[in-house]
Amino acid sequence: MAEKEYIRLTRPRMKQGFALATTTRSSLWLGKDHLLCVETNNFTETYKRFYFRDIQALSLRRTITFLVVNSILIPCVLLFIILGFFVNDQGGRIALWCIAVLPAIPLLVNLVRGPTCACRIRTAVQEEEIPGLANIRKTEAVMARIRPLIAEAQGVLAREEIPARMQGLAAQNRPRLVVDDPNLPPRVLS
Amino acid sequence: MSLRPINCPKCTRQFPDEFLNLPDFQPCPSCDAPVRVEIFPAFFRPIQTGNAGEVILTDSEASCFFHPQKRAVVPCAACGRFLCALCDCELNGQHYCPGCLETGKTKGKIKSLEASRTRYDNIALALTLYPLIIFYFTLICAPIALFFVIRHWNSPRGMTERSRIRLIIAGVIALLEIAGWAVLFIVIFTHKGRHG
Repeated sequence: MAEKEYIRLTRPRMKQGFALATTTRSSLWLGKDHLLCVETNNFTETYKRFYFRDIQALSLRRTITFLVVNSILIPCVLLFIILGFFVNDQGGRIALWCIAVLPAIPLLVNLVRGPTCACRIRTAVQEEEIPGLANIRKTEAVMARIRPLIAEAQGVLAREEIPARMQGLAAQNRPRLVVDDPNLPPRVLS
Repeated sequence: MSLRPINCPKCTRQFPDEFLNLPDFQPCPSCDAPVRVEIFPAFFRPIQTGNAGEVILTDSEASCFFHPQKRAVVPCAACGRFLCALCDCELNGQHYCPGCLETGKTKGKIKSLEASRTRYDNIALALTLYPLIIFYFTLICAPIALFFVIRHWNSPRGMTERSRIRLIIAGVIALLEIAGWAVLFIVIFTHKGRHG
């Protein structure tokens, strides 16, 4: 059997968390030398490629979705469980506990998935949010998987090197000014 | 090298350098959002600038197909035309002329340039399944779905999709729907023939 060209990293996920009007879903795939972000509305697919040699930065921001979902679902589950204890009728009690299962399932899924985050990939020409990487555990697993591939394509950047290289970068980007006449503003050299 | 600083993804203020490539989340000094940023050597890589191409000095040198006065440096991987440094477009180690690059993009010949695809298999499947909600629509949609299955049997599917399973399912359902309508019409006409 031929080797698969792409390996799935994340399952399709809605691009906007609470968007109901749009059905655009995004998934992330691992290619030979790039990450492929596939956005689909079922009838067309659009592709964005992030080549390992071009990825400049990955940024993660912890989001409050995990806490919000928990804070909505936990009271719902508890409400129906507690209401069940106050009902004398055996059938009614079972019915209320069965209703408690409905919010308990997404709550359990949310707890298993763990804290949420928003991940962005940056290259020289774009900065894109990857909707598929929406929880920290999954994102770290993906990062652990792609980090060696990026290192293979670009080399390794030690943390100790960063301040010196940042200073060098700032010095190079600083505009060079020449004062021709002290009574005139300085001239910027290109 | 990158001219854009690393910004906080939430407040877009510049993220301090000392917080980069740390294993844990750090609070952004501006908005206090927990952020973790990992940068790679490409961040410091200078952006390559294009070359204008060198002018031919002797008659023995090959010239660019598009600029006869410029020295050819590489042939196009698709059409074989000689290209100067200005016309040379490098893509994944291959050198193309701008025309072939454009053709490759529009006709999908260069896979790494493909930015979108139409999922005919999903369209065919939708044409068989969605009309089942109001069954009468299957009379029109089932033949169209079958046409899509036959017409796009060899069309490229999704970039990450390999199998034809959706097309096969759509084809089978469309045939069943058509067969169902055929049986219904036969029953109606034979019933009419007997009684009227």
